[in-house]
Amino acid sequence: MSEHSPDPPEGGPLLRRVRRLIVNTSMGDGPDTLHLQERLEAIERRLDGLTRQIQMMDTSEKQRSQALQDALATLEKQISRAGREQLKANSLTEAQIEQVAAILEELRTDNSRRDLEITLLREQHAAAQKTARLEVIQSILPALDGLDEALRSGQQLLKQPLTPPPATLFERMRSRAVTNQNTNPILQEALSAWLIGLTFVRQRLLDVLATEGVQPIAAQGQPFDPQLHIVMDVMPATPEFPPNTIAAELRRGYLVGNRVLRHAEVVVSSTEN
Amino acid sequence: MLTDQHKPFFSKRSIAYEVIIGIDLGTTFSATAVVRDGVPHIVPQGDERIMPSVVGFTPQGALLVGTPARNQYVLHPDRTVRM
Repeated sequence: MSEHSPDPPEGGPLLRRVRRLIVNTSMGDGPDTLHLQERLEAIERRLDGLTRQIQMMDTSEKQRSQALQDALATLEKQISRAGREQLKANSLTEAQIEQVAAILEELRTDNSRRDLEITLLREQHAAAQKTARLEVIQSILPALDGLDEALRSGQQLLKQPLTPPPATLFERMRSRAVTNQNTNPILQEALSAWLIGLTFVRQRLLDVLATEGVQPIAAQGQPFDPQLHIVMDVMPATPEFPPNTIAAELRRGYLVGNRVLRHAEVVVSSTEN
Repeated sequence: MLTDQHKPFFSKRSIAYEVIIGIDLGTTFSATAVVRDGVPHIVPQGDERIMPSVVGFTPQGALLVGTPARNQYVLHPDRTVRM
């Protein structure tokens, strides 16, 4: 039976098997055989159609795959381009951040420098204010010295004893020629009241100076201190004023805090002369 | 702008540059100064820019320079030296 087998059949394994089956089972050209062959040919045509469809589908699938690959390649290019742009953007952003940080640091440095300058200016301003106030106070001190001198003279005048009024014409003429004589008790009382008022004025001025931190330097009876006093004269030491003791204050001195605004001019007792 | 004029005398930086002090020893008053940036600056002694040219010793042996020495000159001329 194998010698009657036809040429190698076309189609797939199934068709080859069917064709072999037809050849083996049909020994002639009967109607059944013809019918089977027609059906077989129809099947073959259909298979060819299917094969073409499959080939077309393969072609379409290849085209779609190619399109997808092209799209993928395009996407990859776009992604790569976007990546490069992102890298550039990141680099630019980092550079901008560094610039901003540098500017911020510079601004902070400028700010701290300006704070320091402002502090220095404030200190200079405060020092200038202090100097100006001290200059004003120093210009007031001579007026205070004048008050002290007026009080000292008035006190000396009050200490003088009252003299009886002149009885004769010659004595009256003589009393006019002699000064610094207290002859009128009413005048003496008026002088006393005037000196008390002057003392109040002086004390008020000292209070105003005290609000500015100005304090008189203690001198009378104190030991001599070259940091506070200037020796204008020397007198022999006495039991009341032992050596190196201030016996008299010629001009009052003043302190502002620990700073000497004006030294006190004093007379100091000593045994060296 | 912070300049060297705002810096105190004898800062660490100044010491590093070997500060040179000029002294004007006058017959009545004396003064000391330093040159910074080509400009002389008088070095104040406390509140005073100049000081009397007087030096002395107290009876206790303490050294006095300037105004305190001048203050005691009348009392202790043997312990005080004037220019």
